[in-house]
Amino acid sequence: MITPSVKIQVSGLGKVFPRPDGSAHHVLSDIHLDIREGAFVCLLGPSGCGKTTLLSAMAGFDTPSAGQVRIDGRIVTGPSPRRMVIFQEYGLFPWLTVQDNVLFGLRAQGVPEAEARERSVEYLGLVGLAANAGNHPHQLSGGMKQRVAIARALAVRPDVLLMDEPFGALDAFTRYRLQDELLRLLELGGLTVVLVTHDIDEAIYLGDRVVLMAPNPGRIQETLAIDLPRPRQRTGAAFEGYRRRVFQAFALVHERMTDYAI
Amino acid sequence: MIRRRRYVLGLAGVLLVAGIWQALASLYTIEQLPGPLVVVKALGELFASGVLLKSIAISLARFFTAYLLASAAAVPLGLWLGRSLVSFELANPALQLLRPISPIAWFPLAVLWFGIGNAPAVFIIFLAAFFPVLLATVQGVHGVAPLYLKVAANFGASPGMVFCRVVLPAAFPSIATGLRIAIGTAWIHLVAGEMLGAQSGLGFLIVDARNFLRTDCIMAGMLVVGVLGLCIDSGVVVAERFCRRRWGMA
Repeated sequence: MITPSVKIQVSGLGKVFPRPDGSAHHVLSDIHLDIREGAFVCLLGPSGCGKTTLLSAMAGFDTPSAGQVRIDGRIVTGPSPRRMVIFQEYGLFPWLTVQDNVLFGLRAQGVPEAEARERSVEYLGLVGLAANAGNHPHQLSGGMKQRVAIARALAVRPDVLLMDEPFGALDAFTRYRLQDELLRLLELGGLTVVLVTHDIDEAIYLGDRVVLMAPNPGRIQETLAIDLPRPRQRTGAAFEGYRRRVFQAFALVHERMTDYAI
Repeated sequence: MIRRRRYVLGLAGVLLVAGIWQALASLYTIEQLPGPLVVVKALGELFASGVLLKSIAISLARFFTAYLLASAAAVPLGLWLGRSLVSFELANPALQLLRPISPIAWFPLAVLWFGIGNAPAVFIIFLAAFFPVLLATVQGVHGVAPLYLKVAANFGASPGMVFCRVVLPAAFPSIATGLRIAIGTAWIHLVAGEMLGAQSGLGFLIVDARNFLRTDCIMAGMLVVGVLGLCIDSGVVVAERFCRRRWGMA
């Protein structure tokens, strides 16, 4: 058996922001994390734990204060179409049609026009929005907008997908549907996914691994491998077991914080 | 139904104002306050003599010349100041200092520099249109959502593509607002510019009528300025609606 190689390697990563009073705010402190090729890793934690900052560093949008992120062994110094970011607010260009939004990325990549058009249709088809190619984003529901954003990202054929609370703005039913759709898209293969969420069920349902993060300073509390066969059930004893473990982990954090308060 | 009510009420409002005007006019002499019927008669007189259409043509030509020149200068400059932080920090205090000076205050200098005629009036209208467009353009560029720039950077878009395909369209609604505000301020300053320095146009028509104590012609000129301003603004509203739809913001 071939062991998959490490795709994303975070070592000694730290991020410090100056507070208005001049003191240092440690958003992230000494983060170590290896993510294997093809893995689906969820970064889970309360707000302020630095999970979005960590994702941003992987994307190359943020320069770390300490340590580094390596992807395929090379240090990340800036954004790249090899690793596409999906945002909670979709980031679609409202002045472009759905198809032109998908074409934007392909054209930016210099894909020949005929091939770009073909691919835009193909990927819109994959997310079930071929019929909406001519619509403008404001004519779509939130779930459809996020589908377009995912199609736009996948169309440039990245090997890493970085998702920042991608379903956070959607209602529960749409969220479940999009989670399943995302898993179906990943069956195309080859993608390493890091997904930031504060939804415990979402993390357990999607992730091969769930990285539990804690704030002040932002750090990794615990890493949990989810050994559930796919397709997973959102209910049932095994799923509940993982939920309990996550709840326990976060309750621990809570106790420690009250200790500090005293 | 609601649309028809709006038109009917709007027309009723105009008639109401005209009625009050007529009632007030009956209290004064024609020289002090001519009534609407007298003014309409004066309008006919001005039209028949050809003065009215000539004045309108000259005024519109000045207005569009100055407005287009101002927009052509202000939009590119605004885009540049919006994108380059150093030039913005260099230029902004000076611009903020110049901006509150009424274009009318430039008039003595304008006459000194350009003489009497087309140029000072065009210069004043230019100033009146320039600042609203410039500031709205800078604001539009500064207001481009960082998320759009992040997405563009993520796809590896070239600086040219970022500018043409992201910054420009994202700033467009703000630029359009500036262009529309500028039409209003430019039109208001058209009359002032022509009253002060020009020998033709609607502003001059009003000044000239004053010299002959023809208050009816003064008000006829004012009425024409108002109606033309309304027409231009309606045209802009239609154009804007078209653009908004085109830009997917409707």
